[in-house]
Amino acid sequence: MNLSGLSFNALPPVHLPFRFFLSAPIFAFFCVTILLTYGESLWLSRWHPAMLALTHGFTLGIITMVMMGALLQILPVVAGISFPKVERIATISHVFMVIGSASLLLSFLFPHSLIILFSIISLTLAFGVFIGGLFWALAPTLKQTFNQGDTLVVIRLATIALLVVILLGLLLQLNRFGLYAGFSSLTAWLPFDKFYTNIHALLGGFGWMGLLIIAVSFQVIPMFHVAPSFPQPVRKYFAKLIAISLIALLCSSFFEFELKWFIAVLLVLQSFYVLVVINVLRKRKRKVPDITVRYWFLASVSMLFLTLLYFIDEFFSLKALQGKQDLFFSGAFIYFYLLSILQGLLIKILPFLSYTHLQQRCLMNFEAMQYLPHMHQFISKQQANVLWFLHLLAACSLLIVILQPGLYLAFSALLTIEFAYLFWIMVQTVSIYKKTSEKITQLDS
Amino acid sequence: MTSIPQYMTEKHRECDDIFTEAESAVAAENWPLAQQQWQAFANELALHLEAEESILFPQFEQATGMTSGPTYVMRSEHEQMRALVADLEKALAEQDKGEFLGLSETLMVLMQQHNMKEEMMLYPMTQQNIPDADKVAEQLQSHCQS
Repeated sequence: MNLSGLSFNALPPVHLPFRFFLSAPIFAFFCVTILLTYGESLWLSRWHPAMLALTHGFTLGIITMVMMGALLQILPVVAGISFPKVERIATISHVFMVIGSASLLLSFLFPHSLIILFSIISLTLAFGVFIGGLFWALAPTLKQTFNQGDTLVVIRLATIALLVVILLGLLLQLNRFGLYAGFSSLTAWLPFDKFYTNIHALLGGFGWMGLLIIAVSFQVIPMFHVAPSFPQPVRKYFAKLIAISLIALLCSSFFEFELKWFIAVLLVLQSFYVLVVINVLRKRKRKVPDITVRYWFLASVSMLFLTLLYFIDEFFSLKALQGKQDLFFSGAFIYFYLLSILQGLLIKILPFLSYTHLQQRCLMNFEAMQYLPHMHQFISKQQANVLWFLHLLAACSLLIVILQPGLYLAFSALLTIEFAYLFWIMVQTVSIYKKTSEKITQLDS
Repeated sequence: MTSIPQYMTEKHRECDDIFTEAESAVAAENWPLAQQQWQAFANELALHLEAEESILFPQFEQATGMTSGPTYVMRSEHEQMRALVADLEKALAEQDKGEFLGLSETLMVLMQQHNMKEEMMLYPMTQQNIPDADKVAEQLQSHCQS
C-alpha cells in the first residue's frame, strides 16, 4: 500500500461545492419564469419547446448542478481522493455550467443558431473539464481495494453514463444547429429524432442521476443513520445490472424491442433498489426523528407507486393519463424520486460540510472549538420540517397541473416558495459558516 | 485470530450501538435511561481512544516513521470528540433535549467520518506495517476489556 498517496485532509475548499448548490435555486426561479410565461400551453406535450426548457431546468440546472457540487466533496470522504487542481476545475466547470444551462434553456425558447452554438460550446467546456477531472481522480482507485470499492465502481458507471448523456445531448443540439444539413447518409445512420431524445433522457435519469444516488446511498445511509451496510450482492452487482440494461437500451435501435420494455425493466430494477433502501433504513439503529429519513421514504414509496401505476396503465390504459403518460411519469420520477433524495441529502450535507470544514481548522487550534456551532444551529429541525412540507406540496401540485394544466399558477407559486426557502436556508448556512470562520481567523492571528 | 481492522471496526459498531440507545432515550425524554446509556458509551469511547493513542498509534509511528501524518490528525480528532462529549454531558445534566440532540448529531457526524478514515485507511495500514500485528490486536483487546 502506498502510504504517501493517502490524504486524510483532501477536502476541497467549502466555497466550491456551495457555489454549485447556491446556483440550483436560481434555475428553479428560471423554471418559474418559463411556467408563468407559457401558462397552460406548456403542458400540451413533452415536446413543446418550453417543456424541453423546463425539463432541462430541473435536470441540468438543479439536479446535475447539485450533484456536481456534491461529487467534489464525496470523493475525499468515501475514498480519500480529490479532483486534481480542484479549485480550477470547479471554477471553470461551474461558470460554464451556469452559462451553458441558461443558454440551453434559452435555445429551446429562442432557437437562434448563435444561442444554440453558445450552449454547445459552454456545456462542452463545463462537462469536458468536469468529467476529465473526475476520470483523472478516479483512475488511481482502479488499483485500490478499499472497503468503499463498491461505491467507487458505481460512481465510475454513473460518470460513464453522464459522458454518454452529454455526448448524445450535444449531437442532438448540433443537429438543431444544422450541422448535419446536407449529410443525408449521416442522418440516416443516426436518426436525430425522438428516439434518441428518449434514450438521452432515460440514460440521464436512470444512469447518471439514478446510479449516482445508488453510489452515494451505499455510504451515507449507513453513515448518517447507523444502519447496516447494503447487502453485499446489491453493492456488487445491482448497479451493473442497471448499466447492462442501459447499454442494451443504447443498442436498442438495432433490435426490434420497444422502448416501453426497457422502461419497464429499469423501473422494476429501481423498485427493487428502493425496497432494499426501505429495508436497510428500517433496520437503522439511530431512531431519533430525522427529516432525511423521511425524504428517503417519500422517494422510495413514490418509486414503488410510480412503477405500479406504470404497469396498471400499460395493461388497462388509465383514462386520466391518456396522452399524458410521458409527462406524468417523468414528472413524478424527477420531483418525487430524484429531487426528494437530493433535498434530503442537502439538508444533511450543508451542515455536515460546514461543520467538517470548520472542525478541520480547529485541528490546528483547539481553542477555536468553542466557536463551532452544532449541526442543528446551521439548519434547525423546524426549518427542515417546513422544507419537507413545501417539497411535498410542490410535488403533488406538479402531478395535478400535468392532469389539469389550468392550475399552473398553483404549481408556480409552490415551486417559488419551496426553492426560495431552500435558498434562504443555504444562505443562512453560508452566513453562519463565514461568521464562525472569521472568529477562528481572529483567534489564529 | 482477530486482525486489527476486524477488532477495531467491531468496537466502532459497539460504540455506535450504545450511542444510538443513549440518543433515543434522550429523544424519548427518559432521562435515567439516557444517563445510564450515556455513561456506558462515554466509558467505551474513552477506552477505545486510549487504546489507539497508547498502543496502536505508537506502534504504527514506530513501524512507518510517520508521526505527523494520519495519527496526528486522528489524535486531534480524538481531542475534539472528548470536547463534544463534555458538552453533551453538560446538556444531559441540564436535561436540555434540543441542545443534546444538536450536539449528538454533530458528534455522530464527527465519529462516522473519523471511523471511515480509520476503517478505510489507517487500520489496514497498521495491519500491513506493524511487524507483530496479531500481538498488537491482542493488546488492544485486553485494553478495551479492562
